[in-house]
Amino acid sequence: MPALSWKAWRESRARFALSAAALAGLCLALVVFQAELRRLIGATEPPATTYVGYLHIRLYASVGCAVFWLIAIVLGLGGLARERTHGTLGFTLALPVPRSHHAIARAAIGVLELAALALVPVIVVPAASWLVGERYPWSQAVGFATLWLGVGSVGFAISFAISVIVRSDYVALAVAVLTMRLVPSAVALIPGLEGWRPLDVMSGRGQSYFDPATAMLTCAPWPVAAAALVAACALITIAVQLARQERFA
Amino acid sequence: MTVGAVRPTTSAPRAAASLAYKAWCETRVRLAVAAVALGAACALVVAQGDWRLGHPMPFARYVWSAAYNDSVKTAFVWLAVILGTGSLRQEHAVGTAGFTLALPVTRGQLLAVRAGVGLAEVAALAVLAAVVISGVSWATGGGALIGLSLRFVVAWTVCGGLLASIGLLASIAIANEYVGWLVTILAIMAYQVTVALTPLRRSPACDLFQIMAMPSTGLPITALLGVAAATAGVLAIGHRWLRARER
Repeated sequence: MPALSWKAWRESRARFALSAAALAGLCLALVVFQAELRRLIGATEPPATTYVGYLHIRLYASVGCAVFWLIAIVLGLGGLARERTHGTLGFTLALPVPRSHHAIARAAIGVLELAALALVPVIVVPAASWLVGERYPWSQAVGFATLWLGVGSVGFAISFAISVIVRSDYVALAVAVLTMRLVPSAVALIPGLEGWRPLDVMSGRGQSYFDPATAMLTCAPWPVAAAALVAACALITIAVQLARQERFA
Repeated sequence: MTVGAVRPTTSAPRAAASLAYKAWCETRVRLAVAAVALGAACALVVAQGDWRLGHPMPFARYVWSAAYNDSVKTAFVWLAVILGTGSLRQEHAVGTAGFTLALPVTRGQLLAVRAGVGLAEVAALAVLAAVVISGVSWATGGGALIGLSLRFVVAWTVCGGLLASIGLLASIAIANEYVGWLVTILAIMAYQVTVALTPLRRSPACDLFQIMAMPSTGLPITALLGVAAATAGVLAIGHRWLRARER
């Protein structure tokens, strides 16, 4: 398993490094240029006039959230179907391990990478805020990171399942991108799930654990994140089963 | 062409047709997936707006705000980049670059035909979006909105062409398909943020996404010519990179 995990890491590290750099750059830019950006928003009422409210609007409820969702899609892609196209499948399948282990190692590394990426704003935002003379609570950053990890894992799992089913690189990418674009709209159309669109859950918008008056989480969103992780695990299990049954000519 | 290589003997139109067929075969599944999903998204967005006919917001305005300036536009941007990507760099990873380079054509021709097919597919996608939006709009009693749709076909084809060219450029520079696409999308997002943060925001002609949304008031001819020139520039850079790789 460690060798397979190492292989999965080698295959995805460029995506991970790029994603980490992009997220860190985004967080830094939003904090460093906060004065100009807050002036551009032109807010007159709290919470948008507060620093915490500004960061929620710009990072946790819009660009940052969307970038993380996008990254989750791209990290989920790859796997045995892609290896067939690249002609390396024979080498991988010749390894003395069951096929499911390949998928499990890739999924585990992907979720760990996602967790590491969710931690980027936890480190960058409070630290950079302190440097520019502002203050952003660590507890809030950790709370949003938990939500990002939970919901991002579901996105990752959907993309992971698509990568098992669709063989071509670009087609898998197109299907994953479109699915991720359509999932939030589809969820909003299901009665009873209107308020559970992925980006709303990640940002806390309209959720019981979020106070819109202060733009802060009112409690640690562990149950939501745990439920999302369980859903992600279920999807990954299905994908692993599909990968086991796949016949490679 | 490499020094000492055999000069191309195939006639240019015939070679271009063969290369176009090759590029079409490589991208047709992507195009089919994109067409089905974009068509469905357009139909859903417009049909969902049916109940708004009695709303104070004019139907044409609703179609513009919900489809041409919102979710459909974002999906189109992402798909345009996907349709544009794919070059010799990826073929090298798959192991087919040798066969492609053995063809009696220059790398410039390969790039030109690949870019041409990508642009044609982007145009087809823009036409499809316009046809579906107009059709569903007409069927639901909101009017065909033909003038509006035609202006958007032109704007989206030109702007989508630039996005596809950037995708192609990224795929020339970066071997990994996913990293190439991610770099392109992140670069586009960075461009959006830069436009929003700098004085460029006062000039809508500098904002590609504003240009894509502008035809609701009239076709921004000068801005579109600028975008077309930028596309040519991006492809020229791609050609230079390919030539540099050849040496």
